[in-house]
Amino acid sequence: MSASILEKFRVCGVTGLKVDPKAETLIKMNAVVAVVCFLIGVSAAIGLVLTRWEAVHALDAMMYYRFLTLHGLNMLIFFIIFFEMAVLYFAAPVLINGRLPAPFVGWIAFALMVIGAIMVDTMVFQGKADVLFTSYPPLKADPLYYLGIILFAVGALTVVLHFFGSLIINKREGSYTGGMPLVTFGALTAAIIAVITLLHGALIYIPTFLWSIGLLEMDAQVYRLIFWGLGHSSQQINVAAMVAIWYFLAAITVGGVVLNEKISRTAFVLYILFISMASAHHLLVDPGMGAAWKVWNTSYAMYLAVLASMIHGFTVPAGIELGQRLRGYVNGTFDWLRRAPWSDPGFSGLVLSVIIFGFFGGITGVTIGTEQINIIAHNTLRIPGHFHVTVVGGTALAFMAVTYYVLPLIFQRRVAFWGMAKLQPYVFGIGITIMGIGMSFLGSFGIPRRHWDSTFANAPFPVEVHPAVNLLQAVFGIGGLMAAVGGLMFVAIAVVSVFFGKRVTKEAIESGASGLPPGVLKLPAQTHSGVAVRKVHDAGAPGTMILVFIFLACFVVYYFVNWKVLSFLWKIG
Amino acid sequence: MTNPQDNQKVPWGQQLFERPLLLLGLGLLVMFVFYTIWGLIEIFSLPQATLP
Ligand code: HEM
Ligand SMILES: [Cu+2]
Repeated sequence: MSASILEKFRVCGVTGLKVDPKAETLIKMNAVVAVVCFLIGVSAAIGLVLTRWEAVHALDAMMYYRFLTLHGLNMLIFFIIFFEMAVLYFAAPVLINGRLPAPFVGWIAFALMVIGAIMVDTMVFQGKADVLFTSYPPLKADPLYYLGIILFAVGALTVVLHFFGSLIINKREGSYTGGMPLVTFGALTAAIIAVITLLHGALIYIPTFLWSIGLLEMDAQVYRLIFWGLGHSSQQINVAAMVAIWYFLAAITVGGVVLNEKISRTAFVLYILFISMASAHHLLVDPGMGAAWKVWNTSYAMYLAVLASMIHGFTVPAGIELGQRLRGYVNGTFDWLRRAPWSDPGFSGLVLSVIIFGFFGGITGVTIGTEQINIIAHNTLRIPGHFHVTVVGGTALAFMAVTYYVLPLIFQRRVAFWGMAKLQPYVFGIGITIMGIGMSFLGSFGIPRRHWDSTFANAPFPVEVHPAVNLLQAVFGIGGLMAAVGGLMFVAIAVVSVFFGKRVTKEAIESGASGLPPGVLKLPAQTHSGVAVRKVHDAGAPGTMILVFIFLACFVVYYFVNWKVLSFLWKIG
Repeated sequence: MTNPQDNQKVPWGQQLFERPLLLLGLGLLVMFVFYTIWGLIEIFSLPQATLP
């Protein structure tokens, strides 16, 4: 790399990374747009909560479906993917000390994505696309809706390819030697899954666009198959990006160590190979698909990806425990946990994300994704109950947590409303968990998802709704509103910090000014040798081991109970 | 940069980790074979339903 390019880099005062300002600007732009989409999504969520909570039942049926479409698209697609684009630009070139190969391409991609998102939202607002984010045919939206999705996807694919280029070119130019950092490897995993996802996106949305202008026939079953190659795989981009962020946050908040690079990387490779095929769980009740295809894709092969998640679910907390022990918290089994920086939103967000995703999300997901058990959960509120603890309590919360470090390190701003920021992960995380539990139980009582009227007032036959449902709806509603408040707190903090925040200066860091998370004030040291290190390594992670066995016990019980419930469906004898 | 001699000592697992495009190819292969292509075969080999 020529010296003139190097001079244009900013050297980060905290991490020592060389930051290409062109990459930095793209990180900022993508992150800001992500937050705007999140705000739209939260606003819609409030309407949804207040409608599904039958005691309030605020929106009429039409508006409920419009809000649901708006929420699904702006949260699951726009917010998450814009944020992931920022993560990719951070993983390479920034984390590998490299340069952005083609900033111009980055801007074109960004423009495509923004234009696409605006087109889609405009169609939804105009009532020309009340098709939910899945847009299953024969439901038909305005052609511009599909075109918007296609533009967005082409933009995202361009960013992903740019990321590959960045990895390869910077390696060739010697920006980094040896292996890429683990966090970058996690982002690479996300990028590979993104290619799988976006290819399915192209395969389905281009024909669907042609169908919408009357040029093509569309087969509903083929649509569902290919659509979920997009719709589900995209969730695995989230998982991979989230895990990469977990490793990053563990390191920067408490000096978390990577127990074993080989194992963590192998787990990422298992994701690359086996996680996308779990898309089949969306088709578990589809008559067109055979049992062998269903079972192979959602159980046997896919369990290798579950194994990978369990590996990360162990190595991240164990890495945190070892990091804490290396920092001197060696007493007892859980001293490291008690004395962790719970008022650092980067840390509390990380821990809540691991717990909510792994514990609530993982256990429910593996269970309801089982071919046989799925029949008692499919299309009930158990499904959104599950994915709000994975993609929201897990991924979105991890994205929020890392934002508390992105603001000072990339935007160079101190976090505004620091006192509120310390609470935000708790409000959001606990709120979404309560809502998820409420939804899960409502689903167990047979309340469907995507349904405006939980009482079935106009059904052609009388439907008996269990009285417990009223209570559960209140739990769901209160949890949902709490999560929405947590979401709005996040938006307020992010927006005010970016546009009005005080700049991060050397003096501010030295004087420990407010709005700077502990990892920025003093980057936790990473020591890898010496007597103390030996001792800690010999002691291992006893606290995490106990937590892991509690987790496994709950898993077994939940799994068994569901088989038991399933057995009630058919009375034998 | 590493010279070719160092390269020989890199274990194969590590070499796999350092080859983004190979990983990409494998990921695409598994997904398309087991999910997409097999799935399409399932759909197109469905017998025609008889009219009620
Ligand atoms: C801020 C707090 C949030 C609340 C209170 C909330 C609440 C809800 C509610 C009540 C529903 C409707 C369920 C139904 O009637 O079937 C829903 C659906 C959904 N939510 Fe959220 N949500 C939140 C955040 C998110 C986030 C951050 C994401 C994604 C990253 C997300 C993704 C989805 C998806 C994909 C659906 C399903 C849409 C559909 O069925 O078409 N939500 N949410
Ligand atoms: Cu899925």
